[in-house]
Amino acid sequence: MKKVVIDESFLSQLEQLGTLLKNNVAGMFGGNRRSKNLGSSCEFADYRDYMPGDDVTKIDWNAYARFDKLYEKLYFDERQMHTRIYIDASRSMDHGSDEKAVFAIKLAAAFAYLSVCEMDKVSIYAIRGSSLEEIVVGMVGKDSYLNCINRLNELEFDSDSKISEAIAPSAVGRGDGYSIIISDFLTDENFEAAIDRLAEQKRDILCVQVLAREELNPQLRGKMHLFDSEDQSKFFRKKIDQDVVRAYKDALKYVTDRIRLYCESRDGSYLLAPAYVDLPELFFEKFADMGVVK
Amino acid sequence: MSFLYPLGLLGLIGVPLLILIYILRSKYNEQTVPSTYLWILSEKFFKRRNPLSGLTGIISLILQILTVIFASLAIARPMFTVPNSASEYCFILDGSGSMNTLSGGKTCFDKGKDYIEDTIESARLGSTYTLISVGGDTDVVYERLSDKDVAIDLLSDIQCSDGSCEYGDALDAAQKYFDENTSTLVYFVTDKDYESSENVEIVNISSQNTVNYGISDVWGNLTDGTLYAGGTVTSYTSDATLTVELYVNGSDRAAKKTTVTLAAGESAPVELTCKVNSYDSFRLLITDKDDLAADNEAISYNTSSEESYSILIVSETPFFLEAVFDALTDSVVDTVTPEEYQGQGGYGLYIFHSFTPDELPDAAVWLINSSESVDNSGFGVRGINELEEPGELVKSTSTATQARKLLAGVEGRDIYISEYVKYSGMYTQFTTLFSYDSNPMLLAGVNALGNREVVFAFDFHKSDITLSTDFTPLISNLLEYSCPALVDRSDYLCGEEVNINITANIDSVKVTSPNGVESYIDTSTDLGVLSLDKVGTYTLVFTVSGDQKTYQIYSAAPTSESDPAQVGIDFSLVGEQTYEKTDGQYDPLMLLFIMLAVVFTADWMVYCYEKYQLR
Repeated sequence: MKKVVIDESFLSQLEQLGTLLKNNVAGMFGGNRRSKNLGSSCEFADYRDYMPGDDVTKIDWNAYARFDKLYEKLYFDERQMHTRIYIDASRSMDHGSDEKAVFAIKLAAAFAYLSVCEMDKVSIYAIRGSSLEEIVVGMVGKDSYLNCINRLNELEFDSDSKISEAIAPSAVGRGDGYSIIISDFLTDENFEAAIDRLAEQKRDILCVQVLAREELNPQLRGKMHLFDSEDQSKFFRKKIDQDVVRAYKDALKYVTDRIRLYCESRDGSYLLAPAYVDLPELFFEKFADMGVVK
Repeated sequence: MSFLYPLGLLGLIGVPLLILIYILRSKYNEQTVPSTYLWILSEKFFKRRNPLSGLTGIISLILQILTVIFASLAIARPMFTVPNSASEYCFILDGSGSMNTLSGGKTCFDKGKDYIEDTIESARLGSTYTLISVGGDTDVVYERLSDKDVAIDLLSDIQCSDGSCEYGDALDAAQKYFDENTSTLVYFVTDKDYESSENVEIVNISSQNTVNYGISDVWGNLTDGTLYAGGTVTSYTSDATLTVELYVNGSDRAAKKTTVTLAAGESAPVELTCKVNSYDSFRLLITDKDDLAADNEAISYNTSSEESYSILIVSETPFFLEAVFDALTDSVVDTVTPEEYQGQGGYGLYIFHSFTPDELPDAAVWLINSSESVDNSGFGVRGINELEEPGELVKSTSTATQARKLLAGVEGRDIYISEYVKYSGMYTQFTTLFSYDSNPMLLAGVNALGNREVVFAFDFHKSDITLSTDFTPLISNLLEYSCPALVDRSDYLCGEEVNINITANIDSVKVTSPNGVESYIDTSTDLGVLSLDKVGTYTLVFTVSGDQKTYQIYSAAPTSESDPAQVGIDFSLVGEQTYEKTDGQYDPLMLLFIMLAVVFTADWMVYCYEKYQLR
């Protein structure tokens, strides 16, 4: 089902969010766009002895006059980052109350906006089964953002999702920015391989687990026969009472802890994002605390 | 255990129905959720901490079943037998005028009823209750009633009288119940103390601080344009200076007032005068407030204006009659000989002496020595018997009201006759006052025309009756009977009876009591009786030949009820009290309601607990 999430009011909210972030935090994604390598930017880094074959235009003639020796001026290399956002498009993201799907789209749009504001390149993918569906690829600049972001409205949450099988074989880039996975992670499918793959490629990893209110604090009681929205062969049949709910919450904590610890072990970041919180609150408090934005 | 309403147990059908509904409703609710991943995973973390928590569904069912059971039992009203716990109660409630005394904002009578009601309420179920009310009459309101509610309802309907009471009948009635069951608990609820009381618990509900004043023995006369009115004023319990006011002819303004200072228990006469040309009534009132208002005023109605009768004597020898009438009445008495009698009308009483008219006049009539039959007289003449020796008349021993009234003051001894007329016929309509040899000699009654008739079967000249001391009172009684005042007098004491003379031309007599209750006197007899059970003015409206005549009489509070400090001598039952009890009953209705409320609340709490997890 199409979600008309990206509309004018939302874009104005993003504009406001971007302004506030600029005023209150230093920048996006650690804010460090300088490469560790030296390059051709305008920002001076160091000197070294001139070697034959070096670019003569970078010889510091003032230093030659002073020391009578040729020195080559070195500059930081400045590279454009590529933010890749993966949205879980499984049915579990959209069943019943659509707050998870809407929230996921808004979150993706917000990350994309903030990236393009930093003149980074942005790609957004939907995870469908074992493959990735390209929604936006290589989007750069606000004009491009405004032209392309509406495609998120076309996103349909009607499949299953195998995160590792979809991401691991794809071209995830290497060392050039953030990979953001937005999912409810309510699956026993392997997602660790995807994180391992991104870590291998020296990507900055951010896993955002989006859960609905009912999933965080279930209100179901009594004798229930629960079917899985993605697989009707999976079911849970039990009389749900306080003890069962307590076990459910223990299981939830176990799952979230497992994802968080796995991300942290791969130098990644993890955030449990209730689908009902406001985006500004999420960015200013959660992501700022985590250092995702600063 | 028994059930008052066994059909209520049909409610227990709800138990299997409830179980059936519970089984049918205990299906699993199917629902699709985004993911069962966490739910399935929760199985690994599941641990029962409270073994009872698995029974919550059953607890709800159990509570609902208990609710149905308790509700059904409450409707069926189970009664448990409790051995040797019930008693038989006999209450005697004093309804005399003094029980109207206020005590703590209530009358003693109401306090007495409250006491009996409380005793009944607190008695064990299965007890029986007998209530004897002593007012104007002794009345067994109910006997051995076991239903508390009915007993209390009937108790609330009892009214206190204003008069004095005779407790003998009540004591006799209580004795009867006590004889039948010597374990009967007899309570006499009254405002008096008794010096002794065996087998009876005297419940004195009077207050120690009662204040009462009273006025009694009211009199009045009009002399030379001045009304003299007076009475006796008494302060029964305290020293007091009392103000007595005189009101004349129903006026709201006091015509005169005076004060009198009395010590406790002291009486003093008061007299007030007032200039009036005439009066219909006057009222004496003690204006000071006390606890018993009934005896604080008295009204006197002037009856001197009642009409008098005219009398016609038809006789050759009217000497004795004229002489006695001259002594007894101020009425106009005319005398004619039989030859002069032409059926003259307009008289209230016709006396035919040794003469029989062709037809009876439409008025009261005396037939003396009538030797011929006459229509409508009610009898026929069978002949004249001349006695060889004088025969003595025998006075009637009848206890009938009419006979007692007509023979009042008459000894009836040594009256002889030498000749009499033997009558036959409708003696049932007549009261025989004297007889000879089983033949009626003096009769009084109502003839076929509906008029009062007196028949002498002998001639005064052939009897020594005129020489007897009985002659004057007898003629006076007969004269009063034949020419009755409709009401004898206007001043009575509450509890007395008023004799109302019903003459032939009276169509109806309507009585309005002081409390506004209207009733009619039976006019089928020649003497109606009105019992006065309230203090105040009774209004009697006579419908006489289509016209209405109104009389007022005042029923005063008896002085015997005015003194709060009266002490009775003895109120005892004969016999020996035993203390055996019968099997009583326990009604667990209240307990069932409490259990029902507890179970219902618990079920509601379990429901809320399951629904909203209130913990």
